[in-house]
Amino acid sequence: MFKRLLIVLSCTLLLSISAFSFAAVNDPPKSIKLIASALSDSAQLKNKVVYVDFWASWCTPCRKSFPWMKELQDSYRSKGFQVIAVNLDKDHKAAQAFLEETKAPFAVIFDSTGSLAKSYHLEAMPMSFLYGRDGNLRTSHEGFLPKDTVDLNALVRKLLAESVSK
Amino acid sequence: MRIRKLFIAFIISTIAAFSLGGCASMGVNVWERDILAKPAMQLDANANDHALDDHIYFSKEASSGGRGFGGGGCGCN
Repeated sequence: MFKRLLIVLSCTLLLSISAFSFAAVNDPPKSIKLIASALSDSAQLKNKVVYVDFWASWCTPCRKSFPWMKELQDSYRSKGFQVIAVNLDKDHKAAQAFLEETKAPFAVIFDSTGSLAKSYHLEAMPMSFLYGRDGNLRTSHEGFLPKDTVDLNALVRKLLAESVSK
Repeated sequence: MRIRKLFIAFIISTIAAFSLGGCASMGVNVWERDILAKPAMQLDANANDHALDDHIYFSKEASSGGRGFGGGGCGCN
């Protein structure tokens, strides 16, 4: 009897431990609030379509995405579009040097400890998240290839066309 | 005596099970790859060095390939 109990207990324990390998749900935050709280002026995101891009200066595709993000920001700024770039460089100087070189026309959050990256459960670099005017997550995108921009541009236009709720 | 043995077996399997939990966290996070992304960390970082090595392999062993370019070990290319 005792032997059986022990076997059952061991099996249960083994199974429960293996559950640790499947981390809890890896969903990114559904709301823009976490990003807004990291900005000094969180009101700038109100009723706007927000493109949150996680990048680092050592990541080549991230660097390649900057001209497109600049273009997107400049084209749709007046319609209520905002790019927020979250920098994940541990070396702050490398990030600054790249930003001075590219002159990005949007807000940059420096997250050298990776706390925002952890909250968003990043699975690739760059990775981006698109929020609608209501502040809810609409889509996420991994990596950056020039051909991806067609779909992303269309989606941004679609979200910008949505009416402002509240 | 038998129960004691079983108990020891249970303790050992418990420790083994908990140590498996150590495998739950795998590798480096994507945003922590700054040093790994440096050119010096690439497998083909020293191109000249590899070219010389490949020349030796080809001339002494008639083998080539296996380092990111085409070609097998038949020595016929």
